[in-house]
Amino acid sequence: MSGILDTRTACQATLTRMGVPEESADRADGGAAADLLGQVTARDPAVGLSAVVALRRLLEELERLHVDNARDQGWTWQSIATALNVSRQSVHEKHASRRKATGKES
Amino acid sequence: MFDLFTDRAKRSIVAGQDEAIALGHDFMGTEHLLLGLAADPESTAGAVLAAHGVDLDRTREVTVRLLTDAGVPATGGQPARDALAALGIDVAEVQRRADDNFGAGAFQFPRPAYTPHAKAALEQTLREAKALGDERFGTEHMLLGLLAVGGNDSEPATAVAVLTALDVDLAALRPALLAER
Repeated sequence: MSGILDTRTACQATLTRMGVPEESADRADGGAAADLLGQVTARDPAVGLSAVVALRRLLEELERLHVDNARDQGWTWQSIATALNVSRQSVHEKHASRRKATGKES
Repeated sequence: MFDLFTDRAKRSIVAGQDEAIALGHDFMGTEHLLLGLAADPESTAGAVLAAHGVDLDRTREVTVRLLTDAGVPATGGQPARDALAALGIDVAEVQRRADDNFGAGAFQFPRPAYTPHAKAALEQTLREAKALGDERFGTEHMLLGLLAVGGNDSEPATAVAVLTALDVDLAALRPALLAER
């Protein structure tokens, strides 16, 4: 079953368009939170990178939350894109089909 | 592209994610997609699975056993929360305020991330539907997609390992799905 852990070669672009979040969970990560204070500046790549992943996952979740909130309040995709400093196309591709799929938008 | 999935198929994906979270798995694998399908015996895939002796409880039981044996931890996402706590971010507090402002469930951290096999299964779902000339992607295409993942040279997908452990005749599932749809 260890093969699940490797070969991270799936077509991320397609899946991102489908609303599948970037694969980032480390399923083998069972470590405790001992002495993590210096992790964003740690010299150990595993430590520094895991901090980056945790932050990215939080960022993605917050983006999802606030894009949903903006749409629910009637914001256009263009206004959201401007606020996020990205193109309308990229924000639409990332969130529109997910919102449709979950019935949040028709 | 998720809007091309049928409502049943979408519900099965949500159910699968709920299973992953409930089991404390910080990832969304083929086993969770399978659990989502088994959770709805009224769906095409769920009916075929039920006819082959696969129900939600047994599937969950075997999934937990296989993952435990393989040493896959059920962390409940604690390492990710700990990492943020060390950076001064109190996820529990963010969760509490988000629940207050946006309703429970709007904020989910860490949201289980798709494994490469689960992504491959969803891609295969699209291919199965196209090959059959179907415009919408249903639970039957999802199960066909799950069965096709991780064959030949690569490690079998966990969903396939679970079905094998449940003594399911894998070769019989495809014709049964095609007959049922």
